[in-house]
Amino acid sequence: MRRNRAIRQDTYSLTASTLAARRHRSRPFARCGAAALGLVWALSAAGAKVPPFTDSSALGQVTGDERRVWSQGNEITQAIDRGGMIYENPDTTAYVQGVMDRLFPEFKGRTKVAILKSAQLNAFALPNGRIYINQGLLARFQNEAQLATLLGHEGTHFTNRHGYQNEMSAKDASGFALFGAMLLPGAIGLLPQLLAISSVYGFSREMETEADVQGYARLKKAGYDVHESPRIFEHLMADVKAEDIKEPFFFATHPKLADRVQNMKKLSAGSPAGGDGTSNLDYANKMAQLRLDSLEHMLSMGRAKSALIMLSDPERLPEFPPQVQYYVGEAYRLRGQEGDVKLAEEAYLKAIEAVPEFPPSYRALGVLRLKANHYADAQKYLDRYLELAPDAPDRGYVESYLKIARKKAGGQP
Amino acid sequence: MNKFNVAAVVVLLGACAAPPQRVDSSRTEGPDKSYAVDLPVGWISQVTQNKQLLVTRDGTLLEYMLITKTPPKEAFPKTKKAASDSMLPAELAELEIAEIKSEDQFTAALTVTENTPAEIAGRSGFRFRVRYKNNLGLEIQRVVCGFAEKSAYYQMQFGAPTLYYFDRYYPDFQKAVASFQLSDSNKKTSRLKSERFLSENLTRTDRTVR
Amino acid sequence: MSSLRLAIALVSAVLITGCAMQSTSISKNVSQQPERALPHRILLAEPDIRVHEISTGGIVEKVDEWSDKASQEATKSLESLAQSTNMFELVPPSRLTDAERATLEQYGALYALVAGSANLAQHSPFDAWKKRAADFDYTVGPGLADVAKNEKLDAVVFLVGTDYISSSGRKAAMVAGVLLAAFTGIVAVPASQPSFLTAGVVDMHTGEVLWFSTETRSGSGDLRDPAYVKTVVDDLFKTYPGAVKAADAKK
Repeated sequence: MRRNRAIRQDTYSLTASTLAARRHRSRPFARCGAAALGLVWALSAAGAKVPPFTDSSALGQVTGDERRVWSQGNEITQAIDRGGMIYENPDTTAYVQGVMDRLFPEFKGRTKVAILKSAQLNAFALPNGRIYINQGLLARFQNEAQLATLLGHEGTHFTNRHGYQNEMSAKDASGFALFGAMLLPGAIGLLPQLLAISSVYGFSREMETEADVQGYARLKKAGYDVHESPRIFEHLMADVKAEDIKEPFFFATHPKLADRVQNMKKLSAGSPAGGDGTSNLDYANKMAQLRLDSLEHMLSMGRAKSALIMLSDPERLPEFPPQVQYYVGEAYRLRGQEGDVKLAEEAYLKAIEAVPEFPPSYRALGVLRLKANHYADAQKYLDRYLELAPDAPDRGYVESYLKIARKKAGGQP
Repeated sequence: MNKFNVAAVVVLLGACAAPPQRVDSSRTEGPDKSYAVDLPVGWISQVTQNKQLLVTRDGTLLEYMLITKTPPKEAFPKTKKAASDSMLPAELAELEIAEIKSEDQFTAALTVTENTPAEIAGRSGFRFRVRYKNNLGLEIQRVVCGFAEKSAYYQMQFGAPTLYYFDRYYPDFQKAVASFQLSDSNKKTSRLKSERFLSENLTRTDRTVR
Repeated sequence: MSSLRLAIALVSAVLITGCAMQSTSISKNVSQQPERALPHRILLAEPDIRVHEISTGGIVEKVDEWSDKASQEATKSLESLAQSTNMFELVPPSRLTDAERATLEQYGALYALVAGSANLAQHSPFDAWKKRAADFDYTVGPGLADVAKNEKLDAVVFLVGTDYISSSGRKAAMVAGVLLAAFTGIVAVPASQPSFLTAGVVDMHTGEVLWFSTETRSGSGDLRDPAYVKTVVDDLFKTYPGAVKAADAKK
């Protein structure tokens, strides 16, 4: 499905994709030859660019077609809220909102940020001013300046009314496609359809570039270190490579990631070094719980390779709380490539050394030892796990492993 | 729109391998006759195009049981992992939870409320329960049981909205699981063992487990 | 209500192609159980009627003002019908507390699945499902009983609907398509979407769905038009057990 392909595009902006999922076309009709009147009509219906919102007061003047687009955004917001998809951590959310408000002070109170329980590296802006960022993406950033780059980009989609423009453009394009298809036979008739498709399933390249450039300007104005801006696309590129996501060419309405890295580097080339938001430690402290939750989530979805992007980087590991080595072990265990069992075991041992009272490390090591037929060792670690976590929800499994270990080791149940 | 909403439409309007049939006699064989299970009389069963046995009373939007047998290599298509009879039950459960989380953005936010070893057809397996909400905020619960053999991975699941339907029809699923047998098993022994095992292991914790 | 909408929309698309209008209803045949009193005080849950505009090229957008208007007209029509026929006393949702409304919303979400399932079963080509629909013991469970207490409610009626209004550009495309077909013989007319209105009455004490009815129409009707909505609502409730009893009493 095209929608799935659109989601697999490695972008920040799913707004149009999300809205596109809620649209459905009427049944298609057959192409044919003749009739000029429709073409004239369609061309005259083509949409014009709209000026950006200047500040919050402009939002009260939204009318007509744009109101409808906002309404669609409201429905998506409602579905997200009802569906339990929000990551509820008031401190973290307040922190991210604070960065947003610093970048867009004239929209304070109207642009609302929420964090989604998702391991994927993505974010999107709805036309109603709601900005959603996935846990996975927040966890991947290293500092506030990188976060601000993203928020500057997404906020610009909202202030520049890209959702509304995109919708109008889709309607015009599909109107053009309708009549074009009626008029132009054969291969030429395909062109209007392409036009329709490429603008329906994502913001246009122009809009994404506009969001990059104007978001960058916000970043600079707010005093952030602009040299951090290319890093967010580098994070995305690494994820695309690790998870083997194909950056689709045919429907790639977004500028390719490598191009965006270069664009941001060009923009920041002339700026002096320095600026706010570069303390990785400060960001790590604010994101400590989110990062652990994100790792849990990522691993629970089997995205071990994605997790290892961060966890196998020796520069990044100190950014995590000390029990991170347990997650390193889990990532290797789940990846399951040759040699990973050994790497997992080493990581679990480091976790036990770093945080001796963290129970999961013992369970993990106990299970590895059990599978390697080291029953006495397995028993030792699994017993320790249950001592530290007597109410563990997986107690049933662990007790069954202990039965096996004791039996095989010749011990008494 | 999760796969069982789609299934509701597909099944009821007719796009499956065989027409749906009312369950008149409880004991039912799987599509390839490799297993047999007791299904609730009066429900409606259907074999899907993937040779799964789908059973429901009111429609899969309201409650369903699904019994699946797959080659181990195809056990977890979304996460592209294979099952193996050398895997521990907890490892199979972990992969199955990852599959459910990968279905859509609503299941991605699920909570695991129970995850324990289970004996099914005399084999060591797993049973877990998860809950999540749909886009209207209605909570849905799903229980999944499974085990792996050398040549196949077997999985049984039950899903229903928490409001009224889950508690009302979950006992029917428990009976089905207790009755599940592979065609080469010792019928009497494994049936009694699994019934006892499941009732002893009905723990209901409410903590999040990865 | 998305599952219910999808169920009805798909059934409509598959089964009523070529038909201008179709009415379907299923019920517990309450009127045939004389010992069972029909519900008297029926809560009207907030109608969920969505009116969309279809653009020239087929993009569909919900329009809030039109949807609100359609919901208001449906409410007025149902109130008028209830008063003129004395079928039941309609109680507005504003009488509920916030907590009661929240519970009702949850049960509304469950009702959408129940009604969607009933609708699909009714239209299934398979005997097993047809029989299931005919047995008709659909329920949302007894959880609404507490909501019914304060206002002494007997039942709740859920009204769900969808309508599609073609933009002027699309109408012109339809005209152009028709003209094209006339001159060239080649058909290229953008298709219209059927609209529907569905109502279901649920006993708030037992949770039983007592009656469920759907009016599906394709053509030039408009759920914002008071006169049109009145005809749709009147037709929708023709098979309601109360209406059947009243009609029987008149004979």
